[in-house]
Amino acid sequence: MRARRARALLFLLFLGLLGGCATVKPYQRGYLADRIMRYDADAREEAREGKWFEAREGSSGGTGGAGGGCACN
Amino acid sequence: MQLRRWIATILAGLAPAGIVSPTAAGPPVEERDARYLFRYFSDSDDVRVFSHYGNVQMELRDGRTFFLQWNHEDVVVPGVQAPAGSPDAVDAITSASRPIADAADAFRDYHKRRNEIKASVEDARAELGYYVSTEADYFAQQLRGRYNVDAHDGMLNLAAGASYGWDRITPLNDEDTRGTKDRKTTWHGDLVLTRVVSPTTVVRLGAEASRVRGLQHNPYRNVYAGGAPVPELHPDARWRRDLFLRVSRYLRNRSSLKADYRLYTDDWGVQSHTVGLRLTQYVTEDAIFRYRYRYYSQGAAWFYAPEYEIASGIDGYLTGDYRLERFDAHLFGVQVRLNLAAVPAARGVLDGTALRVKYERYFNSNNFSANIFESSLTYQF
Repeated sequence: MRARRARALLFLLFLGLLGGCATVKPYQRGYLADRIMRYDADAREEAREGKWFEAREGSSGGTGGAGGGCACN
Repeated sequence: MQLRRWIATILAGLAPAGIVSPTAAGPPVEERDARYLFRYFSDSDDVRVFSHYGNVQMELRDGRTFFLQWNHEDVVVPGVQAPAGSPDAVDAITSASRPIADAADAFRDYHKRRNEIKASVEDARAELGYYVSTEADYFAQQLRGRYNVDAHDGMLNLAAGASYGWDRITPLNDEDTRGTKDRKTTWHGDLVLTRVVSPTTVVRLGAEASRVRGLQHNPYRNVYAGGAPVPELHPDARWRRDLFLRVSRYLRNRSSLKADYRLYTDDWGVQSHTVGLRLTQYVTEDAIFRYRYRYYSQGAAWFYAPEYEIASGIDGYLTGDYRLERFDAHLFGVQVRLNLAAVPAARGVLDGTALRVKYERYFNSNNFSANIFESSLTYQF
């Protein structure tokens, strides 16, 4: 039941993010390009640690194949 | 300067023609970095893992990047500590998850070596990669690809990825199990949406699915069922799915907070929730600290039981795999990243060099704990 609610909530969020109306101009995205904000700065570390989490836990994933764009350009 | 030229020459030799050298005239590479990383893992069962990673990354003039990583890993599984012939020793040998060639072998440490190579070529839109890993009883390969597009004036990014992995398993000689050669294949697909919601906040949402077929149990492990040891047996097909949400927010004092949540389910009945927090802070322009916490909670697989009353287990399946039990886990970690060019004595010599040191402590409700130490040196040239 808890999982179903979480899935529904994430799906609604997905629709909201697809059609969001806030506009952030490219020159306002300086903070987003900082290395402490970027997801790709952690991607290789996450790929490494994903292996040992899989060796100890029954789950996997959560990184999207350690990929995805940054939406910060 | 000499060092830089020397490393550049080696990297040029490593790079496959046509991938790293798309143009014939002039140096093809804009920016390069090389990294060595050492990782040490030790847990409450006295298992120790020593990993040595090396990687090089080259930014090319046409916007493509070539990445190559290799890893050499030594795993040490301790021998049985109980006196030979004692009930504890018999239990430990019977349910061991490592190969045991004979009775004397059980009391010796087991050493396992793993080598892996990962290579990829990517540009702003697409990525293609290959992975190969080899150990005495396991050979794994994977091909993967990704593609992403921007929309809404670059505020929205949609990425899709897929991979196919194929593994060959050749169990070593083991006294009380009769593992035979087997295979495992994995199809994986994912869809990731990343959106800028304000000048300081970005949100990522993703969905992943994997179909795994083939051998998925430990060929060396026995489980007590109906009062006797029986070889472990898991279903040979598994559907794995997860949804995840990540929020990254820039804070006023030159720090960022990254929060994430993952919901995982599969058709073996395992369901898990993972919550993570990372606080990253510039202490100076050249020193970055990161503090981390991760909480994980999972339920048991439908065929898991602490004890099996009959030899056929539950619907023919039996497991002694701790990953299929119910448990909660916590991880705390701290990491420091230093730009060594900031050290006055090293200026000019260590320009573009960064040192990263990390310590993490993991523990779960099944009395398991582990220490993880990692240090890396990155050189940009």
